[in-house]
Amino acid sequence: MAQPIIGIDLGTTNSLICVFEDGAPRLLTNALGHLLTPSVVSLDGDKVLVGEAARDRQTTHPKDTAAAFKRAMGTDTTFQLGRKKLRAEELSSLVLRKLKDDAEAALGQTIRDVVVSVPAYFNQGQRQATIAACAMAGLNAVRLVNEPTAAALAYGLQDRDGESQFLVFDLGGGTFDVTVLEHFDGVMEVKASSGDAFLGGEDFSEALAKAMADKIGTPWAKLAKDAQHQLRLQADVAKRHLSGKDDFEARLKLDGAHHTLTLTRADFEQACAALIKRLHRPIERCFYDTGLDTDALDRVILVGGATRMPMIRQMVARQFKRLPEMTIDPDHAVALGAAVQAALVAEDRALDDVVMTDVSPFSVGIETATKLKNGTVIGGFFQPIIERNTPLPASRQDSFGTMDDNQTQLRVDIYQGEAPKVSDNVHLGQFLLDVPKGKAGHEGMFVRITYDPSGLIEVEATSITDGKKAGLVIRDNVSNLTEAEIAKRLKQMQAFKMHPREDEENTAFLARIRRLYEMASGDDRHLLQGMLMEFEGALEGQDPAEISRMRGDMGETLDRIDDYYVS
Amino acid sequence: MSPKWPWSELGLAKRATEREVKRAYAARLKQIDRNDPAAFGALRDAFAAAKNGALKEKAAPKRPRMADIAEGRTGQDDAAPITLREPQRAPDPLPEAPIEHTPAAEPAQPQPPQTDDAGHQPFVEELFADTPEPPKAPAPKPAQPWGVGIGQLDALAQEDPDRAQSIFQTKFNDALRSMHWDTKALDALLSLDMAHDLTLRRSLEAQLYDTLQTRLNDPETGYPVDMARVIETHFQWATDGVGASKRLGWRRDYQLLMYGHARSVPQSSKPRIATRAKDKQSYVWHKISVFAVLFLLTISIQEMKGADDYIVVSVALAVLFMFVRWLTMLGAAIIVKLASLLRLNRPAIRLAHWAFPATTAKLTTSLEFRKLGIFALTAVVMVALYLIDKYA
Repeated sequence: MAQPIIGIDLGTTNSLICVFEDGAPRLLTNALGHLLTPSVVSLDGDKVLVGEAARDRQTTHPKDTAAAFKRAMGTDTTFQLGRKKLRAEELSSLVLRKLKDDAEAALGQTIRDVVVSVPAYFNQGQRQATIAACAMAGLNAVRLVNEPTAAALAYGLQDRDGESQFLVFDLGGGTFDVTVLEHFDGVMEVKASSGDAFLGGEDFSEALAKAMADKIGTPWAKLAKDAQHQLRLQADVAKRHLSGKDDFEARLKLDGAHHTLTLTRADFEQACAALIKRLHRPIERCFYDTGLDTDALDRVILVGGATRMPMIRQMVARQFKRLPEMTIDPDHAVALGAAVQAALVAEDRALDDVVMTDVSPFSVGIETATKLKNGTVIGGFFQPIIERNTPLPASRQDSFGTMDDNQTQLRVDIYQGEAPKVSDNVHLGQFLLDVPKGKAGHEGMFVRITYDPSGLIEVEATSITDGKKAGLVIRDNVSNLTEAEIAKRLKQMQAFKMHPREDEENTAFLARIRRLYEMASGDDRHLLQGMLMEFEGALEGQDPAEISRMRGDMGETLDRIDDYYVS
Repeated sequence: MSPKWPWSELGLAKRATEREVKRAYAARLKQIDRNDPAAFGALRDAFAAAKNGALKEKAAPKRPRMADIAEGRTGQDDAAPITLREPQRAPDPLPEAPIEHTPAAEPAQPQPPQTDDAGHQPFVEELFADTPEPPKAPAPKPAQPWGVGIGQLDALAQEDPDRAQSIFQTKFNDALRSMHWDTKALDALLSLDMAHDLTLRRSLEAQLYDTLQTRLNDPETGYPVDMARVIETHFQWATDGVGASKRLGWRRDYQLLMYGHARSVPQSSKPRIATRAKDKQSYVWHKISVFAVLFLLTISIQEMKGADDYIVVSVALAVLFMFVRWLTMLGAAIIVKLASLLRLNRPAIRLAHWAFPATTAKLTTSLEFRKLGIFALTAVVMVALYLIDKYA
């Protein structure tokens, strides 16, 4: 049997896995029967919990749990889980392993090659970290696809013969992307992509948490780390409720004291005004780069869970003067599209007439220096060679001269980014080129950069007078870590034992009771304690029918308590 | 006649309409090796050229938009041009409080220079008094255009877009041209919904740039950090230099402008990536090396004279240099002064000038210059101690 074609949406808040079969993508459920697996990892002794159980443990075991680690991808930040210190890509690899296990159970086949979605505005370092995470989970990321492009593919597949110019507004848990596309004759052409890799739903929760702290009367900065964490979780709940209704009564427990706050949608919008401002910049960049006007758009598509917030939809409607669309669930679109991209890479016959062209979201160029009149040399300027939003694959060339007389070498420093100073951009690599001695400016080199859709960047410098060459290949899939290191880490990561799948429903259920116990007060606590003991007793009895009956009965009560404490 | 480029590249027999060009491109794209940059690039170039030179299509009725079909609307609605007003704006829950400004209390503002002598506002008023469908709202409309607060402009734009726009422009000019850069008003204006119109925004950015350029050369005003922050929030000249340079064109002062406000970019908006750690490390080494130099210096002086005061002085200096970054700038300024006062020989003066170039901003932004400043300072400390030794 052929390898299944798999697409993965590795999100800041939730992750999904999707298979492409019989000409259409299909989302796969996890052990709990849900499509969304929260991207949260928790350590329980030597066992790893991923997903809903881990999310509930955020309240009860904050020190053993990590969430929103996608934001730290490509950095050296480490997360403390119990006694272990883990990097973002290691945590992500645990989430990927969970998705892999669930999908393998659902399909009855092993999975190896996958397409993983990343925010369009992820730079090379962040992309490399994502690929390393796949490798550590025993997966081979054959291609990374940009999230808004994936969403567009999902929408494009619904209407294959359509012809339209549209915009994808993708506000996820931690990242924001805007992409303008054109769809005609089966060609999905990305015209421009822009974004903010550090702006997402989590920032809105944080802004609301700060507003809540002000309402309580304790400034955010004065709260202890734990209290901040609890408040952030509460704000997240409040945020969800405020998307549905105009006000929300939050009952929260902070440092042992109970508070009741009334939050209105207006409060929330005020707290997020600065974030809304930041959303405008990428949109403007995109339109400037495509030379289009907002009127030229046929559709505006919303993707990402955070676009459920009414203030976002309002802002989009105002900016584009039209109602945005959400015909595919904004949480699912990216995963569906990732599977479509996987099918495109695998050249699935169902997609013979579909072609997708993407652009480079960043400019790629080299460092240059200038000499001032008084002889001072100022270096560190960024000279783009492939400008952002160039359709890929692309190959461009530029020429550069020597600065001093009898200079024998030229240093080529490759950077990715938009800032005029290289120090604010991402360094990709460096090499030296020998040039013959000569007068300043009389010798020089051509630098050619070739960038292909799989993320491979090839740089070649040629000396102008004697034709000597030097070059460098930067690929996505060789990260900062070498192959050996990845193999070593893979081994390390495999030492983490996943919680047994059969048990997962029960573990998640127990975690839920414990979380509610933490939140509740008075009689409810007694009730929950009783339930906890009863359920643990049933677990020891090992009668599956009895356990599942109990889960059903208690579930209703838990729902009721959940509703009371968060609404 | 055989077809010419770009039509030949696309497999077209002759100049075609845009629709045909797109179809030909799509067909061609499916044939070529899309991973070959040369083939793809050639096709893209031809596609771009052909789209530019395509025959104008007849003014056929616009095809129904996908969005409309999805919502069950017919293509008919499309005949109506898209209005500038927003079709479905929810009523604002917040009472629109004027964000700031007390325009009514101000005397009539000097007219912005770019308007004609007749005066901007009355002219606009007149113009719209004559329009066929006067959109005069009955009750709460302020009598004078300058009686409208910034916060009310968005609401006004709903009723009377042109008037709102002219008021907006006046307020923008005032904020820009006021002696001490009214950055708060600028920020409030640029945050308005109406300021998010893309064409207007480009023009505002250009106006802002031109004003800055003339005022930067004026030593009296300089470059306020507040202003830099507003620019960064709204136009991102520092973080999106590539985009800004395309919008504004490569101008001579551009680099200077970048340096001037790079300081104001909040750390959090810079990409937080692993490569930055390297900088930090070298900075620590740099600190250590400065300490070492100063230490050696004090020891050597002690050998000469054996005065404990020098140690205290230089250690204190070292601590200051290390922890207060801007002091290096101040220090560099002192070198220049000292060098000229003491009439040191030419190399010393040159060194000092080197460390203190014309724009002080460069000193703080570039590590190279920071290093130079430190080295020059060390030299000055040495000279100063030597002089004290000699004359005291």
